[in-house]
Amino acid sequence: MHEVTVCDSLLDLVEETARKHNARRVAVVRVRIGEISGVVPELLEHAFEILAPERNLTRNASLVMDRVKPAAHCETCGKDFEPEEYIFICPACGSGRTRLTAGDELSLDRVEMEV
Amino acid sequence: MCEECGCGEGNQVVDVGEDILRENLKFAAHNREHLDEHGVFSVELISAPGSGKTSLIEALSDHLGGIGIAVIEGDIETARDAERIRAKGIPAFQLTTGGACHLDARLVHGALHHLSLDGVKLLFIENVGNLVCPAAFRLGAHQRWVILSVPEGDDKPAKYPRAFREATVFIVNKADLLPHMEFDLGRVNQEALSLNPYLKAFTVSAKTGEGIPELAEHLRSSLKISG
Repeated sequence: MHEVTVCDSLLDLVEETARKHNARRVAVVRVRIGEISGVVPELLEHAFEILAPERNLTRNASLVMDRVKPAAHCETCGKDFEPEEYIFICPACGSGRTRLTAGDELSLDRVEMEV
Repeated sequence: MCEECGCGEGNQVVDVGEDILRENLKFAAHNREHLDEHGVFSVELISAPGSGKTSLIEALSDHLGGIGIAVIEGDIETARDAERIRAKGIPAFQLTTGGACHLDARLVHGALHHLSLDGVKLLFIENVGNLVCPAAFRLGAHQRWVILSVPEGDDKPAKYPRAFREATVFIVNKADLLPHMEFDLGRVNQEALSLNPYLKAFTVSAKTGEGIPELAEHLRSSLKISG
């Protein structure tokens, strides 16, 4: 969903980081994509292949994606579980008082640059 | 060269750890701050096109006498929805995206510059009709309502999980059509609540007024709690 917009925002952030460190070019961009973030990794990769070369700093950059599986925590019984198919009811005690602890990330993790 | 991530020697590696949609989050936080400063409670409505977002606002306004209301309308084209709201004597600002399928916090920020909040206690922000994209773009509203209408079918929550997970209120609208459709209220509520156990569910008909007083009461309580 909107991988092109997301990629654009990603490259803005990468450029900002590169400029802060006076880099000559960016070699590697590493991102974390949660499996329920709504972003399809393959589409982000395609967008990156098209958009990164359009910016001088990222013209030769490669993208590495770490996918994060969804995880949740039950506030009633304390169980940590992996929600199956978006079911957020605790499998141990049936409580609905659960919260997502991982899986919706969409973040720029690290940038490797030539300074 | 490192096989895991392709890093080479001599390069500087910087850990960033920033949300890619940071700019939208910044604007969303700014919008919320602005609304809090003016003592305005805000509700964002998302749904597929035609579920009844505008009709719901119209119906609710008849039960919220004495509470100053304003509306930000979002559509790709036309000011039809804003015109409907203004016809009820409620100030409305129409955002037209010209193509974008969802509002974002920056657009709402712009709209807030054009909308006087004097005397306003409640702001509705009606997003573009779309059950997919709005979910990921926070606007800064205090509450997000996801609306599903009876003709759309009772199997939608699991098909659009993010829309239901990113909301706190779930409204089934067009309840007046229940006798004519195969729509299992029990099933849809169960499905929505297993995706998001924190959802408050309502069944209404903006057309007949069924369930509207209860929804209005929920709003009044939310307003009281927010001070």
